Amino acid sequence: MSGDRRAVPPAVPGAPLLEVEAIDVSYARHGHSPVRAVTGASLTVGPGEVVGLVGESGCGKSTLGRAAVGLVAPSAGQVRYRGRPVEVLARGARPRWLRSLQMVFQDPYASLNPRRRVGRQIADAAALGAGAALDGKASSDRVGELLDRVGLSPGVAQRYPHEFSGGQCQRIAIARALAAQPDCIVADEPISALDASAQAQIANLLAGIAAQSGLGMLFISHDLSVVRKIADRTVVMYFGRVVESGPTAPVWARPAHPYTRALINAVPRAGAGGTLPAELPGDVPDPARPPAGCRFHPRCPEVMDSCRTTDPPGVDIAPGWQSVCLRAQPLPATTTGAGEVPGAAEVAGRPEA
Amino acid sequence: MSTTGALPLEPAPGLGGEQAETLTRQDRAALRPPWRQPLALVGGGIILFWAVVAIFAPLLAPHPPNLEFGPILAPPSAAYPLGTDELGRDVLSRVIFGARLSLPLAALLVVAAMSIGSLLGAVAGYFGGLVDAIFMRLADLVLAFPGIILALAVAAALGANLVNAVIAVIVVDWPQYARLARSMVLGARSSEYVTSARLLGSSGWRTMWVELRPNIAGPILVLGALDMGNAVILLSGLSFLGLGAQPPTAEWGAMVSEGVANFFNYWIGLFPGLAILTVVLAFNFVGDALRDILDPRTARMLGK
Repeated sequence: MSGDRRAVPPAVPGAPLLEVEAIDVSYARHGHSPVRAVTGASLTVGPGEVVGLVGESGCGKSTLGRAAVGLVAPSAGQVRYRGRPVEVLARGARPRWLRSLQMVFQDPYASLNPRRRVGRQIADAAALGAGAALDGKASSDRVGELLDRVGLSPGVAQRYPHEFSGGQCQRIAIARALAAQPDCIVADEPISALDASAQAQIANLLAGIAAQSGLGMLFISHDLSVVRKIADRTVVMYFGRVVESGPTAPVWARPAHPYTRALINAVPRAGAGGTLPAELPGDVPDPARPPAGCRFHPRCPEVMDSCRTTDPPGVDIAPGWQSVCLRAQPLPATTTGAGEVPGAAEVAGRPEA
Repeated sequence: MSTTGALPLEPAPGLGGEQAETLTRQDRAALRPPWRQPLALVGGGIILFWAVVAIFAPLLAPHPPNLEFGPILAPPSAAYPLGTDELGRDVLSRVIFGARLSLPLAALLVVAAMSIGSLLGAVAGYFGGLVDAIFMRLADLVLAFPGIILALAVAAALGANLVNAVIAVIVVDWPQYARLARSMVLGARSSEYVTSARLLGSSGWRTMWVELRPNIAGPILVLGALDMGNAVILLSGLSFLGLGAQPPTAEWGAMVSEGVANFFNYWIGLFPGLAILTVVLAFNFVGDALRDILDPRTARMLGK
């Protein structure tokens, strides 16, 4: 059954699994100018890759995630899954080929139907993903197998969501997403509503699933320490924009964007001798009136005069590593694009992380 | 149709946003399960009593309901416990057989109005837009008239018999279910379990039937229980006005009407009237108890 599910779309060969290309998302407000929650954001997720999307509350990362699965329509740009444009969810059922692009939500209780047994919900997901109802035995076997995969006993299938803890509910929600045999999962703050021990378990579970089944994952979180652990690549958003994206280890070690540095410095560290983490001054500006020039300049500790007027272009720090900052400059190994960057001659301060 | 003003037309917000509230004595009384509330118990007992009477009517009634055999207009006596009417029929037997009409018909029309109303309301709430506008303006149109007046007009237009009276009551009764179902679907539509189901490929209709229905059924069933008394009154009201059951059918409303024609022979109208009174009161007692349990304020304090 998985065969014909995959056979439905003529997948474009060579295309990335999930590709978000320069999308804008605006929310219309009654009697006000529309708010652009996401502006020109791009990212790609490959098979077996965990992409961490980080940023503070309200920066548009959840909106980007919702646009990636087709829950909100981008006002510009395009989202492609297997090279085909993602259809925005309308009144009809979601097309079969898109059902392997799934989502896990933040609130595990809200994302399970409170009045249905969890086993039924998982079995329904399996049937919908396969496009055909499974018979009783096959269905309960599949439910048991999925529950086992997320670390729950198959016996819990007969229970209702309120009988579980938050972490267990999130496991069930993940099992339900897996029932549709996904190739890509967008996890929207999947651990933010959980307590500390459950956070680590769920994050490890998701990373393990991505590694074992080779599915791509967009892991949205504001928790940098978790993203650092499980993400292969990190994408940093500020105020609707992607400001830096690149492989997690180098981005963490030598962040190229002042906002990334501020985020990393704000992570509390054990054994820091009681010092409080560095704080970023100021607040996120009013989304209806974005500042001119670089969107980060009112809060940037390294602001220059040109930042107030020039919207910075993306600079390739290294292959696959981009920073949107006037101060950013490529690492010596690369040569591309250095001459085009205004202000690149100025030394970008990169403290050791 | 009395407006069910106290019934929550908005769904209880599931999470967050509640301010701390203290329990008053009344609240605590309402939190008790129905089987520990005296009024609800009395109501349940009366409903049970009438249900037994309706089921075993041929065994309980001393005479067939339409047999004209006795003295005309005899007052209550040992031979005729509730007297006889102007045609010499036994009032007790007629009241007993009347239960066989009023109770099942009230249940039937509540179920019908509930099904039609919740379906239209759920569709309106889920799909929104033009469908919503059409269905809900239709509901507003019906709600704009006093229930009994509109039911009268519909029953008169269709012709005076019991079937048409039931249809007329359904016509005036469905909008309250539509409004309740719509508001609850609106509340649940944007929840994440619905979004998840849609992402998994669930169609709109499947989502409504499989995912939403179990979540909105409770309050609608309570509204139905509250509405039973109303249905009994409306139906006997139409019969009383001559637009429902036709003679010689033993129907409580029609019997009260006969009682009005024989004003000084109180027993002809009094006993069927008492039957209506007790049934309606009983349904209201039970409905009130159920409503208190489902009221968002008390439900929140229950930690639901």
